[in-house]
Amino acid sequence: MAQETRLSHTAAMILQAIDAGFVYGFSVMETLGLPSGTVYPALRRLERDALISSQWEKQSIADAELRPPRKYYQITPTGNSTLEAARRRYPLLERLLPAEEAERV
Amino acid sequence: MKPAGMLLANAVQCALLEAFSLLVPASGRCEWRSEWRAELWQVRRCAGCSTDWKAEFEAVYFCIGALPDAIEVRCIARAAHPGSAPIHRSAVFCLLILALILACGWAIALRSPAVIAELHPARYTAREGLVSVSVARAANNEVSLISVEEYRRWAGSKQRFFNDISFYRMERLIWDDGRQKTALSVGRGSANLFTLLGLPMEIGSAEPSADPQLVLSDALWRRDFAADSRILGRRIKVGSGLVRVTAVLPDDCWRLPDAAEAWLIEPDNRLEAGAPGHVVALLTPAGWQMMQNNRAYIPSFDAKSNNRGLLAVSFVNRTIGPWGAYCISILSALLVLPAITSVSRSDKASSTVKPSCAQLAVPGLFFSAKLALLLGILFILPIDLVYANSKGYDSGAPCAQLLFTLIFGLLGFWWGVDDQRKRCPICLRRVTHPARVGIASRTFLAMNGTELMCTGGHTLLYIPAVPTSWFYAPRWVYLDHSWRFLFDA
Repeated sequence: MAQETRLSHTAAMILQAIDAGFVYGFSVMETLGLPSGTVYPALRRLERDALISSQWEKQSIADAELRPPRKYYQITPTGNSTLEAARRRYPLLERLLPAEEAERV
Repeated sequence: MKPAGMLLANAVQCALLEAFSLLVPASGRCEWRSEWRAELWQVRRCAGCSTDWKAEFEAVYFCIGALPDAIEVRCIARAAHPGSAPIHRSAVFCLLILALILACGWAIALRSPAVIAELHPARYTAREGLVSVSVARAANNEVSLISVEEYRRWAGSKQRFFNDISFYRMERLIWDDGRQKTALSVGRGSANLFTLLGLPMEIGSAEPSADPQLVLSDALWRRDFAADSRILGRRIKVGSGLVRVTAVLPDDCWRLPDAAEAWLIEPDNRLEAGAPGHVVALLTPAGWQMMQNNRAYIPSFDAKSNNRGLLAVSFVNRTIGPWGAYCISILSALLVLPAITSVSRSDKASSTVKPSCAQLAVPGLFFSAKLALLLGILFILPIDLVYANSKGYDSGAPCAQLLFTLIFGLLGFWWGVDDQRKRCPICLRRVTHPARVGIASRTFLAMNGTELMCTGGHTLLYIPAVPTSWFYAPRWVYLDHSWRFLFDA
């Protein structure tokens, strides 16, 4: 079995935020109150470690809402198991951001 | 916020994202930009309820966060493709940095009136035969000031070696415009001072006159008189009496020791005894014949017939100008360069790979571009350092410029040659991953030195530890296609 990735508290919070439904960069940033210089590099690292994956929103949806298309992040199965381990390590994580709190767009 | 301010803020945000995107590998750059633009749209929308400036500030702060993100993306890409060269080793990066330094140098120069004045030497030329006069016992005529009484005695006696002689000294005088009093640095000179120097006036004229005349410096005229030409002819109170403003002197004209904000020109008999000052004179042909190495020792006898020898030093050597100092220093640096680094060309080892003529020309073009930028930097940077904060002509400034240019020139040329020697002739990236090859005890039997590698997989560079008759210069080995698999990640 592959060894689980150990997350820093910030990375764990970001992963928890994505799991809670804050699925694009700015929403994560706004929810956690972290600066852009922390959130986006952390997202890159999580994606590199295959804990999250990303996909672009359909252009038609963005056009309908008169905005540029967003890049959405979603947690992967590996990310889920890593997040479970992180929750055991940081018990307050789930209380800080309960899963499915945000309305998925 | 006004639309113009909004546009400027938007331009700054877009420029930040564009600039940071250059750090992202080209393959992922478009996607990275799209994501950041989309996120910026969200930031602007959410900050819309804030006050205008606060919203724009938040957006700019958000955009600054793109820098660590771009660096992270680059690091991830490099970790995935270890063969890819870091940007700081590329030739373009090297030229960009040099161009940036040059642009900064010129930006500083254009913001400094003293530097601009120095860069227009055509506006000032020392008159032929113009000398500073001091007592010969003083080794440095700059500090051997002469009293008014002594000057009067010289000026009043029959002169064989001087056509004309003039005096000036620096004083702090109070200018009272009725509302406030301002302390000015004033050069008090004899009536013929400006005629003798032959300085052109920006407006007005400073011809000898019976009344005390005030010649303003360009800086003072602009600062305190709002560049109003109607000031000419007006009487103002400077020091203890009224003086008439008669002319404005361009900033770059005054090249004598000590800078002033204004010059008070008075008849000789009104020059008050007090602090000593400087004496300048025009040599006669007889005096000119005594000049050796821009200096002349001139006999002069006081009232008791004691010989008080005078030292006349020509101003010609002080007006070398920035170009003169630059050329001398660059030439000196080029002459000294072979003593501090090898300037011989690298060897090319026998190899099956033969670079094309175009490939062989590229390093030469790069070196020329680098050298051109370097020469530009070596011209402007010492001038910035020496003149940017100067308040007026300083006779030591050309020497300081000369010294700075020589030091920077030596360092710059040394770096330029060394950098060129360590760049792959094919892709111009700096070679890296140095590895020791061979052992010292076998220097004369086998290769002993350092091996460096082009991360693009084009070449290897061998540098001998000890030059021998068969291996004395760095040697390039061109790698053929059989090596590609090592570098294609």
